Amino acid sequence: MSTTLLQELQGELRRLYIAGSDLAADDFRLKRIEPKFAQLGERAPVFKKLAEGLAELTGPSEAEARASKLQDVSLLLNSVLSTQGATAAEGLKEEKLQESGLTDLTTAHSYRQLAEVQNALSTSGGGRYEIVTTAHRDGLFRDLRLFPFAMKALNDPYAELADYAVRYILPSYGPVIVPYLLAGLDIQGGREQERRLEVIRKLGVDAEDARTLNLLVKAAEEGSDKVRAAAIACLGSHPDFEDRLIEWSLDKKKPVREGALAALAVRNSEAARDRIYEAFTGKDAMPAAEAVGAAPAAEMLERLIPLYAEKLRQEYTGEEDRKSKDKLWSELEPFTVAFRYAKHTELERLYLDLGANQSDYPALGRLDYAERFRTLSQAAGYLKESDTEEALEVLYALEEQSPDFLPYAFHATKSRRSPAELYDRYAGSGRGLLRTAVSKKAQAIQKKLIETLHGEIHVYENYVRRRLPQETIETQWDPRWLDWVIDRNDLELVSGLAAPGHPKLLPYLEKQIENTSNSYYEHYIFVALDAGGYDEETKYELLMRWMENRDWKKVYSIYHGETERLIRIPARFAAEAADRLEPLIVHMRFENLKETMQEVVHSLRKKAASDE
Amino acid sequence: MLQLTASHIDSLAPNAAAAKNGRGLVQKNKFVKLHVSEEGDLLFGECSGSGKSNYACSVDFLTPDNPVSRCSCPSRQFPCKHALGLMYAYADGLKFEQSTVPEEISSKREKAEKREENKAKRESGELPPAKPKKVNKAALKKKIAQQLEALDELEKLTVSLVRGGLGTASARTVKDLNDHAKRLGSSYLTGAENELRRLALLLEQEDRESGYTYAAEQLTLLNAFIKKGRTYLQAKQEDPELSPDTESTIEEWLGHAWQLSELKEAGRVSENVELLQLAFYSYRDEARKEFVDTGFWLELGEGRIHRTVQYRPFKAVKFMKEEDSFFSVAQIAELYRYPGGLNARVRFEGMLPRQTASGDFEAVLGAASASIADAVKAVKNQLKDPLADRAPVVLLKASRIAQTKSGTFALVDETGAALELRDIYRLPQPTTPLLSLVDPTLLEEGLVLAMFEHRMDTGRLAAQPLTLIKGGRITRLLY
Repeated sequence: MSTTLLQELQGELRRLYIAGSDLAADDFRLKRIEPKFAQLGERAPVFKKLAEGLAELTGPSEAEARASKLQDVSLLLNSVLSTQGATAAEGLKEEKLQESGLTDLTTAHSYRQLAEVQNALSTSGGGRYEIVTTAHRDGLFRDLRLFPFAMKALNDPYAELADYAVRYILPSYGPVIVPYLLAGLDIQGGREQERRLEVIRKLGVDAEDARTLNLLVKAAEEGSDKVRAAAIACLGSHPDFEDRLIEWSLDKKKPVREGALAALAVRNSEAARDRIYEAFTGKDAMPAAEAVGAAPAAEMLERLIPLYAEKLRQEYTGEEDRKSKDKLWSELEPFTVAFRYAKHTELERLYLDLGANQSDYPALGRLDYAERFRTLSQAAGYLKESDTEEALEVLYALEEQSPDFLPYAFHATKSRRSPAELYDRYAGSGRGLLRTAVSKKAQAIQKKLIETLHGEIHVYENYVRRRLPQETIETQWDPRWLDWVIDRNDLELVSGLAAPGHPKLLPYLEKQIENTSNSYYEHYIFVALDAGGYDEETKYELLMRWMENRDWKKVYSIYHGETERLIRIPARFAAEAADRLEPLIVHMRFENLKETMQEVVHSLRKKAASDE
Repeated sequence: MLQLTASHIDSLAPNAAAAKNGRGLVQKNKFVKLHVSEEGDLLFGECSGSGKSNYACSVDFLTPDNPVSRCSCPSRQFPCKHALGLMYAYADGLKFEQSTVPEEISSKREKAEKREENKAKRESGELPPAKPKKVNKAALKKKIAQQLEALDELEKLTVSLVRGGLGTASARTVKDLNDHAKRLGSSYLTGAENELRRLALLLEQEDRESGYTYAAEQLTLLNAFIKKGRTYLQAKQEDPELSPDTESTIEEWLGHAWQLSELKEAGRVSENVELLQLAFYSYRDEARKEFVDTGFWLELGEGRIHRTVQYRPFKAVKFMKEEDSFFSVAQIAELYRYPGGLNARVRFEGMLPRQTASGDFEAVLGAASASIADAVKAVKNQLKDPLADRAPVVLLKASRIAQTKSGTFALVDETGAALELRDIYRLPQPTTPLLSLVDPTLLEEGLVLAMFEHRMDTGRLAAQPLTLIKGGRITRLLY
């Protein structure tokens, strides 16, 4: 059967469907192929039928009839064509398919699990970030079918989502995905392509992989500015490109220079270091500093540290005006950036000396306070972690100079001295002993100390501040601290440091309960009570007093923790508690609050009943 | 003792959110009481909610293939999150106290038992059968006349559209088509309503060129439907006693929704069937204004591939169960088969899951077609009929899946014949790109479940792989 002819007719009929069947009359193209059908019709009746249909379609007839005819001929033709569809594939390759490297991906997840994520990554709108991050945490992206969507995420209109894919999702597949990332690379593109390259840089490129490297070089040479910078940054670990990188680091365009310097910092060869040093001392100081800051190699640091010392030691004779101060800071600031995460014994030595003998470093004295503090606090921050006696001494010297350095010294003392010694130094002697600080300086120190304590007695978990474990409080903190903070009336610190066996604690907390202005500090009071190890009855009685003392007219909501605490009241007090709480409800003004309290009373009653 | 697995409970859940919330209730220890009946066929308990009193919920496994959930919460979803949570708690091995069945439930059980008894009696003839539905002949006649009239109008509309040409179609035409579709719906031609709306959607499509191709195809389909529908309705008009055609799909095209009892009467029921799902997907059908959950299932032993279809109207999405991929074997007491072609639609009311065993995979292997030529022939035979399902699904044996020089993929059978694999229009998602990512051993001597579609513009019959099967491994490329 002549499929080409049928397909040709299909094309003609499609044309008529678009143009309208009214134009079919005497259509010369149809007339031209009609005889061919008639001829084939002698052997195959289907062709004959089509030929007849065509004749009627082009011949004289009513307009409606012609339209129906077009429909009929088309119906017949479609049926015939449906039996003629070509299925064969051309040009089969004989070799087996390459292992993709992603074969450990599963296909075990169900539609409901996958579709949610796929939808999230192919639409826009709220709530998608949460879905994708949860899916990543649950390991859903280990499913083969989400891989294309993970790639698609690079182009997500919500930048946070695209960045999440760059940072977490795509790197989790490993370097095998580099070819896939490059396959979709458009070197003239913008942010999406930059992200692709960022992932590649994270994953690293195999030095043997010539194809990938060639593509990267092409992107580095011919791409848009963003793509060039990102592609250049990928080439850092490959010795062959060193000369090119150096060349690029002198490019006219700033992003290109930045990318090249970042790659050179990773490269860390003799020549690379020379170039970075040159840039650092030249006009590209900041990009070079960023590059070193991101990849601080010991050899590079060894060259920069003496330079830093030299700059700091420089005497200056000119006038001390704004301009000269700015110039000085613009020379020093790159060092603070480059040494952000650096660790080096030379650096430690410099910081020790800087802290101890500041007069040897006149440049420091010429900086404004903010900048000087930034420089010195970087040193203090380094010394705080170095855990040596020498560092501690320097920190004490700094602390003497300004209470701003107290946190560093405090932290270092805490890790090198016993809890009692820490207390003695900061609170047990001298100024710390005074209940009310008199002088301005003493006030500032005390304020700083309290601030420091706030920082030290909490741990941070995912941006959530938590109390230190009770065991840590009892073993690593001197019990006298609690008295100290009680005397200074800091409820939060009292709650943080509360431990059993303090005679002052209970009276203090009772006083807090009487004080109605404390209505939002319930949490601290009762955490302190729990930590103080008081018996159930005391805690119950205080909780009741707390509830009764509150000015319920002004309270419009009650914390979840508070209701939980009420519900946890031991069964033996539950009945009484319900009786004491119920009369409070009439004082409440807000429905929600009333309802919640009603519920609490109800569940207490139930508890009491089930206890009997 | 009752056996429950988390995946089974997942499959009972109306949607992913309900399952998640149910799990959440267990994690948050919201269940106050957990009980199991002495016979182990009833779980019940109390779950605390936001209100004063707890919700009393239960799941009754008296008929294990169709558990009944009850709950005092106001949710319209069944099972609700509380009932699901109860089951998850049981599957997690939480402690359930043995207790007697509460009176409330035993009375409900009795009532259900009585209903079953009556039903059985009615079937055996002990009781007079429930009054057969009286067919109001006059009303039926009126309905058919209305349908015929609507068909005539539809024909007029299509003819005028064909005369003017699709090229002149504008936003106005689309609106007219949609308005007309609505009228078809009120004249008992819901099938035609959907197809006309589909035509309107094609004319709205952004890619005009491919839109025209499919729109022209859709117009001829409407033509076929008008003709066949008219003959069928005329025959019915003359003889109102004529029972519905249970062999062809014309009733469905006209918009008839088959009742299970009708299918049973027509003998379209298979008993004690085991189905293994090979592929699943769900898509938005804008023309129907429904989500369509579609599953392809192999009937073990029979070798036929059935289709389950669940329509979820956009408006009712919240209240309906969203189907999901199903990985076990479904044991089904009564399988109702709709009229249809290669993958006729099936329905079942309840099922018991069973773990897949090696024998099942032998059955799968036995059901696959070894020759591309044979499979393609069967597909084309179906496509010949314009009203048949346009996208048949076939299970094929592949001696290998090869890449072509142009970068596409092809399935090669044992005779060396090659079938090109391409993504098709009717599926919501491409799958061929995944072929280069899967374990290459899956592409040798395995099975491929593929969906076919004839492309009018290229004259090619395209096949998109849905699932790869090798040994005991089912790799679903879709869902």
